[in-house]
Amino acid sequence: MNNHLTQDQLARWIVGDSGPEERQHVLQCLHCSREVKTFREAVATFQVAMREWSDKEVVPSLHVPAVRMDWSGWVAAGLAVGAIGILPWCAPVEKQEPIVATTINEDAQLMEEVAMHLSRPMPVSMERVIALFPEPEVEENQ
Amino acid sequence: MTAKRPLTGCMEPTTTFGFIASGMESPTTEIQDFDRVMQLYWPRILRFIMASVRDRDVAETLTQDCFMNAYRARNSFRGDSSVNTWLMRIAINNVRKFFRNRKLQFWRRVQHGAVDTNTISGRLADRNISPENKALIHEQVSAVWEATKDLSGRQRTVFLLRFMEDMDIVEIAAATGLSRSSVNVHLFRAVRAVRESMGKKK
Repeated sequence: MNNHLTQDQLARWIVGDSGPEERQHVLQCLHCSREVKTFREAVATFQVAMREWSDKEVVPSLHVPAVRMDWSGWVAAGLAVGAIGILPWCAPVEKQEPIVATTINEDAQLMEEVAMHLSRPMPVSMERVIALFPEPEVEENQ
Repeated sequence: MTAKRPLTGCMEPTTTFGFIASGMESPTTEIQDFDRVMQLYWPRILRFIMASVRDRDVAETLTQDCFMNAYRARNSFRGDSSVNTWLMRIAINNVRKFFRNRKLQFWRRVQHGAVDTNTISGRLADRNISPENKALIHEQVSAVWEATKDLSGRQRTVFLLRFMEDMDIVEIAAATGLSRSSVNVHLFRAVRAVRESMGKKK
């Protein structure tokens, strides 16, 4: 058998696209069957080597953050807006009440002091001076 | 993300309807357990991209991108093809984009993570085999690795899917977006080129 298959015919045989005559030839021809066998063995070794290599590689785990609505920002913003809105009504009222009460107390105290001052027969400064003088004796006979 | 389930049945379904044969759920159900999908398909996507770009760092980055894209698009996956074919289509697009991106031309030339075939054949040769067989394994792996380097993008993709991933013509056509006849033509040319390259080295 001198007429061996050409390179194209061998390639077609390997791909599985050959005719019955070529298939029959490879079965009978030692040279052509060896050509096919050499190729197949090399490719099979390559396949096994690549699989061994890839199977020993570490497979990473996929860490994908869970997709969810982040409400914390909205909540914080809402609280901030609420606080700003409430402050003008709440904060001044809380501060004004003690001020009013204090003012009223102070006014009342001042009025009391004024009333007490007016009710005195003489000024406070004169009271101290007068106190130095002995009180006039009341005649028992009178 | 749901809890991990034990990997049962066939580890790597190879046919479009492999999920039926292996007792696995339908593709649309399967894709919902994405942790499991990653465990199952990460190695094959990684090795396909690795054999395509021939750079370990780039391969890992593109594989991560592939799974991120798949995760984002998982709800639009209709299950017309198997999860494997769908993921492979995404991987092929990522590889294509990588080669098109001119900004990365410089980095492609530098290839920090360029793969030495010893790395690949070394793991296989770790087994208790004779030095002669180890040498033969290394020779065969190097021959195919070097031969696929000079193939065109499409020829390499089709070759790897057929001979490394055992995908049939229909699956390759679905993953690449090519017609079956185009897949056959690219595969034929790839095999011829690989055989020529291997013949020159002898």
